[in-house]
Amino acid sequence: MSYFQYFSHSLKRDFQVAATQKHEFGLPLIFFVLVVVLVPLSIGPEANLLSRIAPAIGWIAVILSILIALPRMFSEEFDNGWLEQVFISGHPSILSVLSRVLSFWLLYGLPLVLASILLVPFLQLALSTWWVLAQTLVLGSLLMTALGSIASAMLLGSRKGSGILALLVIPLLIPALIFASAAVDAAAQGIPAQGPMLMLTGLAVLGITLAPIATEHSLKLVMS
Amino acid sequence: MFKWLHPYAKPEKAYELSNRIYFWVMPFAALCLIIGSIWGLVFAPTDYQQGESYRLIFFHVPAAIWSMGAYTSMGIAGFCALVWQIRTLELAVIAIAPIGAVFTALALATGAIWGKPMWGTWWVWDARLTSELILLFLYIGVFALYFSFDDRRTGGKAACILAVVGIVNVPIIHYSVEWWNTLHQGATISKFEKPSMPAEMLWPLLINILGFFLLFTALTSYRFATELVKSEAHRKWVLKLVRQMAK
Repeated sequence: MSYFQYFSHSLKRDFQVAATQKHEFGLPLIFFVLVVVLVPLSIGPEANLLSRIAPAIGWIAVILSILIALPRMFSEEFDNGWLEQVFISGHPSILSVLSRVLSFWLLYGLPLVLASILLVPFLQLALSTWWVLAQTLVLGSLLMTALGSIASAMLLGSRKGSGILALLVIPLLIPALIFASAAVDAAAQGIPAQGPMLMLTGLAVLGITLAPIATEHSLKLVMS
Repeated sequence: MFKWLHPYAKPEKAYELSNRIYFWVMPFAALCLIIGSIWGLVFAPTDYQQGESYRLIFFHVPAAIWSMGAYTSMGIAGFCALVWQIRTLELAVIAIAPIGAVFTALALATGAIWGKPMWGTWWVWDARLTSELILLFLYIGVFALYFSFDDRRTGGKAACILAVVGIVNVPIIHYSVEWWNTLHQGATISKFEKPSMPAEMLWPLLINILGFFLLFTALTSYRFATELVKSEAHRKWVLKLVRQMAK
């Protein structure tokens, strides 16, 4: 089997497993919607204010929703022994890790990015600003998934999962958040947002390239 | 080339060495900190622009420098622990983490106290400040991760991985004042050009920087020795040590 074949097989398997447990995917989405709904309730239905803070709310809600989903990235495969099989199969395990990161993003990250269009009617966000926001969210959620995969893998064998997961992932995300907010701010004022966008792209590429190595290492560590 | 280093992979030897380092370095650290602080706080001239409050520099700058230095050394120790599977280095990572966290917190606190009269605010979301705050969270994360596992060995390795991953933040902090033109001022001490401060201010600062470094070295060796004894509690050499101390 060539590397590419192995990779696409892993990816296909992830989707097949996901298709058997559809109820899991709604949860982060519902959480996202709930966070977005809570904002106008707590801050008051003032259109100007809401449209001003809408991108920030979108980002924070996506971060929180992904944090909810993250512990599930490897836990089932770890419990039922699939991961162990991957590591002793002789195929490069980094490919499996990479396919898991990618499938996780397609299953959890991308729906959240698409769901962020709810900000347009709910929080009076301008459609053109949403378009830039969605672009930053695509890159940001990719980075989040990549970095989160390290923490998620690391905490497989630990007792207290999710609290520490937030502590490990959020600090590393702050640079991405800064660039994303700069890009959205620029877009809201009608200035080209290319500079911060390119920085964000760089971060996302760096994360996806290097994080799986650390993730693979953490998985090996948990299984040894 | 590093043959002389090999015996120190043994916990027993490492314990002796770090105890000796603590014993010899601590007095110098105290001496440097006392001289630097008194010189800085009492004898250094008043700044023409910032008045007396600039004197916080004698604690703020060393704490900030060694908060990054400590993280770098922690990252290097973590990397070596992972690559060459040296268990004692995992203990070094965990020995450094709280000290670095305290340095970072000190830098943030003195910065806030300094910021109030100078900038008119305790805190701004400026690049340098934010990245330093992230550093604090990273230290806490390394520490918390270590203790979240039942098995110390697994926890140690996980902490090492996080220490290595988090090292990307160090250059961000260092260059933040150059990359982003925000509120925080530029570097106080230039490395190659003529220093921008008068010598009467520069010398106590340099002495305090050295003092903080020595303090960091001494405290790290002390904590490292303690961690060694804790992790090797069932070994013969520890028992021998305890009996010696009891006598």
